[in-house]
Amino acid sequence: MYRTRAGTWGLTILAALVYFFLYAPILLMAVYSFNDSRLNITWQGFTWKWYLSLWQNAYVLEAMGNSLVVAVVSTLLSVVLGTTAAYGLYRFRLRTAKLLEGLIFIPLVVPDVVLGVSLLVLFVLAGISLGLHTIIIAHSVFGIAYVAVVVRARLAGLDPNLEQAAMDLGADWWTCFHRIVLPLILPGVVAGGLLAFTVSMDDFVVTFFTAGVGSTTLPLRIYSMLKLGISPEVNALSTILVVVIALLVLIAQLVLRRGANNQSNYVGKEW
Amino acid sequence: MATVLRLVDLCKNFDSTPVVRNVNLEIRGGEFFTFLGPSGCGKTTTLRMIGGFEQPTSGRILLDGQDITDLPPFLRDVNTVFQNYALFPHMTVVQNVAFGLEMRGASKAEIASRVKKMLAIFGLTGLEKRKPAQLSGGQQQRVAVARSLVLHPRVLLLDEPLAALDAQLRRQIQIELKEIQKSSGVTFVYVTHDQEEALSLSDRIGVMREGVLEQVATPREVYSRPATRFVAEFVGENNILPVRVIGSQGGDTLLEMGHIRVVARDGRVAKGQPAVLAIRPENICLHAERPVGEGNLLAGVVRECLYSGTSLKVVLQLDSGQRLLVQTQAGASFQPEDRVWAAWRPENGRVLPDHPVPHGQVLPGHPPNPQPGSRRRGRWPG
Repeated sequence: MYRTRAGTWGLTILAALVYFFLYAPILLMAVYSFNDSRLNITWQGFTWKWYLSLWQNAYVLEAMGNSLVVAVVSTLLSVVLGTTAAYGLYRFRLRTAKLLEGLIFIPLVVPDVVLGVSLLVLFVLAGISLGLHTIIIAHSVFGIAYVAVVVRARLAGLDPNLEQAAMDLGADWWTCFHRIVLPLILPGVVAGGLLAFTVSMDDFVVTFFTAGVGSTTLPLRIYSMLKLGISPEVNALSTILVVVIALLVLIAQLVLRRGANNQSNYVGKEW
Repeated sequence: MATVLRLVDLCKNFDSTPVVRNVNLEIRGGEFFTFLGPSGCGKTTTLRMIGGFEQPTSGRILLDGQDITDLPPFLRDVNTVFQNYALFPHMTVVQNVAFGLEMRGASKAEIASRVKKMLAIFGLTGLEKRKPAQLSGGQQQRVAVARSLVLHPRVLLLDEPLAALDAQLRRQIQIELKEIQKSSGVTFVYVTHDQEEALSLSDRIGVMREGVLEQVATPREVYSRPATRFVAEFVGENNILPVRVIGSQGGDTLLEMGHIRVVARDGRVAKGQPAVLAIRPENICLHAERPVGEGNLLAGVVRECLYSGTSLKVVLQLDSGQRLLVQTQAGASFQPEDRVWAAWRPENGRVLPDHPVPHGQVLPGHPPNPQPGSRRRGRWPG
């Protein structure tokens, strides 16, 4: 392709700006979480104390516990239901399959505010009191969609003859699923689960609407801490969250890639 | 030999389009039976109905006299070798071959010994721990057959199992398959569109066209005594000449080709019916001079000479304008534009009822194009 020297420079600068605005704030936050000062303006020296004080902050620990409970339970629900849904859509050629497929993936594109408000309305109408259980339900709504998307892509690369071959050799439906299908889509299931987990861990908007008293999660806690000004503690907590989530996403990618190499006929679809 | 598999009035429609029509067939124990036909003729659908992957629209399938029409695949004592092998990619060669025995609840010791024996038969010893992706095409094919044959099924179904292999490997595995079929005594039901493969492997061939079983016979019979015009055209090369039946004389049929009279020792088409005369290229003799004596004779001009090493194929343009393919000895010296006489004996011409060729002219030896709208569709994707 023909490019001018100036064009190349322009593109480089543009790309640098994009990355700068994406990562500079996060980096700055991480750096200042080690700053030995109450204020974010000047660098006073290195310290671990904000991390230590987090560890002693009962509110933060409680929020961390809540977040973990919500993330683990909603991930488990999402993995089971999302995988089942994806397999059902793949296996049974229903006339409504296209519609059902679209409906399952809609939570991915609906604005969080809409999802949060509508769930809140539903809970109120149904007379369900808000708490951890409502957050779990809300997180499962989009968790299922994440798992279903990834597993569905994985299933698309699965040779339908494999199931027929297994049945031909004497395997019934269930044996066929857990001996042939599940091992082959497992990377997708794990990656989808990790995604659901990370999304649940850092969700704010939907949680904000569906949380009740005493069911504050980590992102909600950070927000409420912010009301008292940006303290180094918030920086430390956010840094931890970023690192944990980045690690999980990395693992999800690795699992998917390893699985793709393992499956000869898989067409290598990145979600 | 006793009948192992019986198909009774088997029919299959996809979206009200019939793809298999009233197939009646008895397959004997220990037989190598082949369904032969062009793509879209219903041969694979028939095989899949026997395997339990398609539900017949009507008709019954009997295995050893027992009705298995409504049984799921895992309750039928038949096994399938899939066209793309369908080996389990996450399992090793041993795990693949052991899978069926495991499903039957065989003991560990029995599984180990039977798998070992099977791998030895197929020359797969030493590859036990490999995954399918680490095998060559030929090795994958062998694993696929071994995986099914280790169960010693009543009938082994093979759906174009050699289609993915190159020509040389295909010939080699053909011989292996035939040997294994004989030594194991398992009934093989084979599907192919390759007529050479069908002729060389099978004990009997069923030629299918548009869902109809047109002829069931031994390879020799199918080749030398085709039952229909389609069989004559599809199996081997054939010259198909339109003729008019004008009478019979003894066992012979008198025919008129334009204004030339010819005789065929074959009388199955009544006077007045549309008919064609099928003559194999290798049954025609070419003469530079008009030969004297009995026999059928057509005059023409050499248009093309195709040398193949073992033979010389000569394309003639007859005086009537039609083309005639003749196969002579490689040493024959004919040149384009030569004027020649083509002669054949009455017993080498086969008179067959004519039928219109619905999907374009079928060239001798070439299967017609797959028909639109006859793609397989069903419960199973793909």
